[in-house]
Amino acid sequence: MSDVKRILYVEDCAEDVELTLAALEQNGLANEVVVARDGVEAVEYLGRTGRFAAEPAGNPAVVLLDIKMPRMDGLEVLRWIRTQVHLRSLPVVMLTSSREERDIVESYQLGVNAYVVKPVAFQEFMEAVRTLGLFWAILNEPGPGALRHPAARRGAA
Amino acid sequence: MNPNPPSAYQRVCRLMPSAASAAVVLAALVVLCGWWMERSVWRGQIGAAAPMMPVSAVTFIVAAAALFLLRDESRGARLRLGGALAVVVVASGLLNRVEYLAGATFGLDRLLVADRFAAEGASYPWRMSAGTGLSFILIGTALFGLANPVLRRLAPSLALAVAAISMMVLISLAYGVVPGAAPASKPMSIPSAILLQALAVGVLCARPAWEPIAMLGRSGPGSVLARRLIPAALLILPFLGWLRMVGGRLGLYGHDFGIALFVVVTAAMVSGVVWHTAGVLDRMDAARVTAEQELRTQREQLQAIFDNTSYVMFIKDLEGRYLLVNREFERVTGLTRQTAVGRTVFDLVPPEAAESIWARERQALQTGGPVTFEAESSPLNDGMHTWLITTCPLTDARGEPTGVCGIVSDISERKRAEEDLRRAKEATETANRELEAFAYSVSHDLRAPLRHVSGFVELLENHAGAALDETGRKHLQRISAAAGRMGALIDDLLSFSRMGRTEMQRSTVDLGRLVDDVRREVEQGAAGRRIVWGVGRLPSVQGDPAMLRLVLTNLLSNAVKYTAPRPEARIEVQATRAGGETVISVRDNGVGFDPRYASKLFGVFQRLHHQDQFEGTGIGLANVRRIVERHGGRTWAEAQPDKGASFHFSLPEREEKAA
Repeated sequence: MSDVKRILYVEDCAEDVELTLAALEQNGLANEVVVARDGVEAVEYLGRTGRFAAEPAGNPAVVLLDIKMPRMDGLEVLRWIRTQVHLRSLPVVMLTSSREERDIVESYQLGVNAYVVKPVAFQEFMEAVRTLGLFWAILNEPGPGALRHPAARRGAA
Repeated sequence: MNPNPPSAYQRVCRLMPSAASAAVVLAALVVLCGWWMERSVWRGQIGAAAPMMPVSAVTFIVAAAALFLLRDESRGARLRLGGALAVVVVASGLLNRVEYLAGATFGLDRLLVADRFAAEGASYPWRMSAGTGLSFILIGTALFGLANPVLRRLAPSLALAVAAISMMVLISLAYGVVPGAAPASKPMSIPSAILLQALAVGVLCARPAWEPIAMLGRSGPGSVLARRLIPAALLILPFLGWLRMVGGRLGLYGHDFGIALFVVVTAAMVSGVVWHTAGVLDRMDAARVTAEQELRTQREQLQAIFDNTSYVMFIKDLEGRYLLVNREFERVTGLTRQTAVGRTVFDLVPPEAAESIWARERQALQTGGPVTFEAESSPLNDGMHTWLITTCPLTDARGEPTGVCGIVSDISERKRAEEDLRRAKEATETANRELEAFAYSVSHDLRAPLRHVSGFVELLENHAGAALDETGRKHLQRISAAAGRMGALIDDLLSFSRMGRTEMQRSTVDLGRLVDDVRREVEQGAAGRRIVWGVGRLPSVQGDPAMLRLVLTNLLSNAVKYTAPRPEARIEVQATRAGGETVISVRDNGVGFDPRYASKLFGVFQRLHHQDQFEGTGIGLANVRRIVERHGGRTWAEAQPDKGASFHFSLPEREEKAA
């Protein structure tokens, strides 16, 4: 429980980012969150290119992915992730406003690990983000090979 | 018109050549045996009559064989062999001629029957009679004519000549005259005359289609006359002549009276035959007139149909020229019958259209069956018409193609309606796609700002809650509640839209069990309330289980909601079946509503109560109506303020067994 693993949060909406970070902060999870503002940035981060080239290596414990974003949307990012050998088993959670059937179906077909509709009510939203953060960043044990402990890798580097 | 089954005459005619051949061979063999076994009667020696000579008998056998081989119009080896045998018959006759011209006897007969002639002591030379020889030349040539295209025209005449000669001989013998009975010329024997008669008839019957014998075979009145009068002439006159002669010899009457008697009886018998034949011809003619009248009636009936139908109809010849067109054709093309006949479709429509129509008509001619196709043209320049054309080949009585018929209907209206329908469907699909895009955008874009409003209100409260007074905090709560409510409205609107778009999954739904489930569900949200349920026997129906569950959830939760002020709520669920539908009713003793607004109940976001009295978004009954209508049923409600409400929906009955 003591190790907090890194979360990649992909979201284009500044308000959502702020609210989500506020929710994570309340639970002491905000330090290890990397925010990408759209799909392209998410890909850059995962490939350590662009403005993330200097970031330390290593995959995050989970990717929280919005669907509707400029340039490259969440479904495209998910599709790209599943084609990358070193990212294939990376946990991805859709965190989106869309309750549309076709988004849900397509996400699962592309191999998403969970699909969460952002609740409108703040309390419920806080609860949802808290649950997600606790589960993926602390409780869940990352798969071997695909996910490594950021701290351990930092030591090795 | 149509080929009739063969008449008795035709059957006899077909058998005759074979029968004649067989009879001739048999008789000739009897004659030969008569020579070998010395039986004079077998050779035809009756009274003073001469015998048939052995060479004649052999020639008769050859001629019979030729007739048998040539009995029908076969080809190849049979024809050549038959022709060769016919030549042998002619040669035998020619040899006899040479004998007479040279005044010699070649003695061929002696070769056949050795020395038996010595015992005969006849008064005439041993050779066949001149008449028999001449007849062999004639009948041999006729037989050869059956096999030879050059001589074929002669064959019937030659056969008739032979028949005449032998008839002459037979009648002379019958009358006791021996023609040419000079010692130098032996008379024709009786069997020879009979056998020549048989061969002549056989040759005539072998080609029944050749004139003049063909005349006897036809069904026309002339042929009927010929079939009756010719045998009468051939049989009656010789018979009566013979009778007169015999009577005279017996001394029954004198010579002059005999002639008078002969004339009178002949006249009477000929009149009788003519009278009878005239009756037959009259009946035939009456039948023909009746048939013609029937045909005319039939033609007039067909003409009436042809001219009064709303279809364009025509008949064309093999070159595509119109032979017959109907009134509708005149109307549609603007041509009169007189101007249309002789023209082709190329004179009426542009070449490409005409070519495609003509191609289909030729296709019908080739396949021998009807062809249906569509074509477009504007013969009167009044806008493009679409025609449905059925074309069928026409044949004559023998099955030979004579042309095509066409039946054409104007299906432009139908085509236009189909096109309109297709456009409307496309428009609907486009609208649906737009609606879907709209719903998608609503679900994503409208909910996000709401979430931000409630999120930042919360953050503001956490951040500055202490600095705010009671009123300020209440305002914040109002903002937060309003945002939450708008979220609920959006969710309901989306679910309503989805309800109209999702596919129905039909199966058999047990309404009794479904009501039990839903009742338990809604009771959970009404803990502490006293509710008395009265659920009747409910049937199984055909429908989408999830959708019907939503209908019942809405109706039962409404009933629970609007009975809240009652100390004891009573809710009844009943089903009745009538008029091919099942009606399900939910009654409560709740607050009811003003029936003046009943029509608004099932509209989207329509509410008859204030939010602070009873909570709700006003989408539930709209969903009920939409679902029931998708099942083909109706929804209605009745109530009085404060006296409870009844909600009903119907489902059309289908087969109880799910497919």
